[in-house]
Amino acid sequence: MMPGPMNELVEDLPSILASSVVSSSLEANHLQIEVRKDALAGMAAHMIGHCHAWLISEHAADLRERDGTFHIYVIFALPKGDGIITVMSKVDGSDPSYRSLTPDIYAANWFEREMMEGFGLLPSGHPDLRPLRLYDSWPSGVYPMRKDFDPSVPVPRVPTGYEFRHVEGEGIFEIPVGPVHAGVIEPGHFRFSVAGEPVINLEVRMGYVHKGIEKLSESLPYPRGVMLSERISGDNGFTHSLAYCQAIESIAGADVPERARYLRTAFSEMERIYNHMGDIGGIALDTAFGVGAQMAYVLRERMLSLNERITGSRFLRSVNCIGGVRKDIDMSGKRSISTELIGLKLDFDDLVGMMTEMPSLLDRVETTGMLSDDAAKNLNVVGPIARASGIDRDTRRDHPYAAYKDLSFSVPLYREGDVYARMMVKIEEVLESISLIEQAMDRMPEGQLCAKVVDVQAGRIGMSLTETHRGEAMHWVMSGEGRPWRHKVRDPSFLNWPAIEVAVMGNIVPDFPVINKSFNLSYSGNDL
Amino acid sequence: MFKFFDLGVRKHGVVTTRYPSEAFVPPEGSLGMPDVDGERCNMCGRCSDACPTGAISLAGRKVTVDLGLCIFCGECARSCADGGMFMSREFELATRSRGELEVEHDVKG
Repeated sequence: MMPGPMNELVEDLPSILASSVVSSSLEANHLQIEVRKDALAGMAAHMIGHCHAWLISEHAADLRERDGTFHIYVIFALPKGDGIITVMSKVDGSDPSYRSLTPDIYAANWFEREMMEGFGLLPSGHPDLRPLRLYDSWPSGVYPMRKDFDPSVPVPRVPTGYEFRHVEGEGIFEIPVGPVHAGVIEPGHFRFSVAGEPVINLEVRMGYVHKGIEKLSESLPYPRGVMLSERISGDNGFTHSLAYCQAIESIAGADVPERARYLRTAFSEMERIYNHMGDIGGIALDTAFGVGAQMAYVLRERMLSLNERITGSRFLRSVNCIGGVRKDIDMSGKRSISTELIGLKLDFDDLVGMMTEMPSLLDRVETTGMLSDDAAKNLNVVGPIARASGIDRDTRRDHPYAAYKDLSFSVPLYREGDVYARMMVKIEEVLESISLIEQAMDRMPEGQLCAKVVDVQAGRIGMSLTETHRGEAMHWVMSGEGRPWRHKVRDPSFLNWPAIEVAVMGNIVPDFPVINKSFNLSYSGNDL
Repeated sequence: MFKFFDLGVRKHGVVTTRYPSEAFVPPEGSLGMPDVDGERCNMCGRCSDACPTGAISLAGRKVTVDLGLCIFCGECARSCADGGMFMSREFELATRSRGELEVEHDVKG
């Protein structure tokens, strides 16, 4: 799309970095640069510091069978235009270490811990090498993402402990919360340190729902991978499976029918609406505005019932397939969607009017759980949380997929970074989503639903970004024989969880639930 | 002060349903329990091959669907050419034991 600036990017590299480039190639909007391993950290720092790029992912693939090395991929998105940059480095299998990116790029922290426990790639200079997802009793030296790891053999347990960060001093208390919580939510451990009421430290411990999705995907043929990706994180199954399908379609060079692209857009937005309704209801509930919360849940239920009437599944499962979609929206479906959306909009306006005028609610949400612009940038947060902290990023607009390029919508942006801003971003996004569905249904051409995708060549890389209701999700697939050789999933929650540790700092403990609701992060998507 | 009544009962009346004292019928096309039409099934086994979780097994003149493994994706019904396997709208599937989740269907002919 913008080959000029992308080419210049390689030419303009400082000489010390330029000399370490092994090769570079530009394909459409995707620039791939291979650098020597000692220059990986420098190149990444240059991309962030000089090109102001966003870190999308840092992950590895085990290619020791082919060339005796692990490949590390660091993926960036350019701030303007649709450009994607992949910086790749080979790390010798006999010396699996590299210079850590984390001292320069804080957002690389969890990615490198993930590679450490999955592949045994040691990031030298990384400040915190505790495990991220595996059991405390996981033996050292067993790396589940390596190709020679056999998932069918049980792993022996070695009793070890996990060191939490401690704040010590007179009158400082530690409050452990979870991993089992009240209510039907997912498991995660929160360790608060408090001085009186204010929280002075929070540490989030994840990994309780680690299921080995990425490893499992390597054993599943592509059509079954769609079903697996629908179940990565239950409430954004559609956008996750869409990202997976698009990644495979890009490898196969498949041409998705126009009608399917519009249907995918409409379904993505239907998913966003019911999820945002839940989030808005959650904020109302945690600020003791029960009537509003119930109203939001009624609206959410109406959307879920609509999903079931249109697709047969309340959570839009079994809709995506590689090459298109399986479910059509016929004339009567269109009518029932527009009737439902009109009713939804009227009732939602009532609810929003009430919520934004209710002093007891505003008092709780304003200036609560502040995530500053700077912190949001450094932590590389995505989605509504980023847009509530002044970061103007939306995958639907910046890296358009499905039919988003042909539809008009605005991206709500707030700068306050508090619970109120996150609530307002979600409220405005619901209205945009309603308009997007209406536009998609108006412009949807007649035609096929699904293209035949037969030839998925081995050894190629496909990548796709989609905007879930939580933010940008990435699926990156390196193809093998009929199934992925490596499938990397990056859920938006993986980038957003560390931000909640920052956002609760200085807030009182009773405000944590409402801050948590305004983030609404996925445990399952994070733990994979 | 009581403006919020407008959100609730005053404007919308009662929105809850009387389930379970009144039956709930899911909309058409809803993905419920996979069911077998004994008249139409010809024991070809395509549903069993299509099932991603291996929930369907064929033996003798019987098709067994293990609802404990089923993920309600509808692949079996999609693979069936004869309409023998189809997704019913049945959703009340709780049982008192694991064994009862294995539903046997007799196939005629």
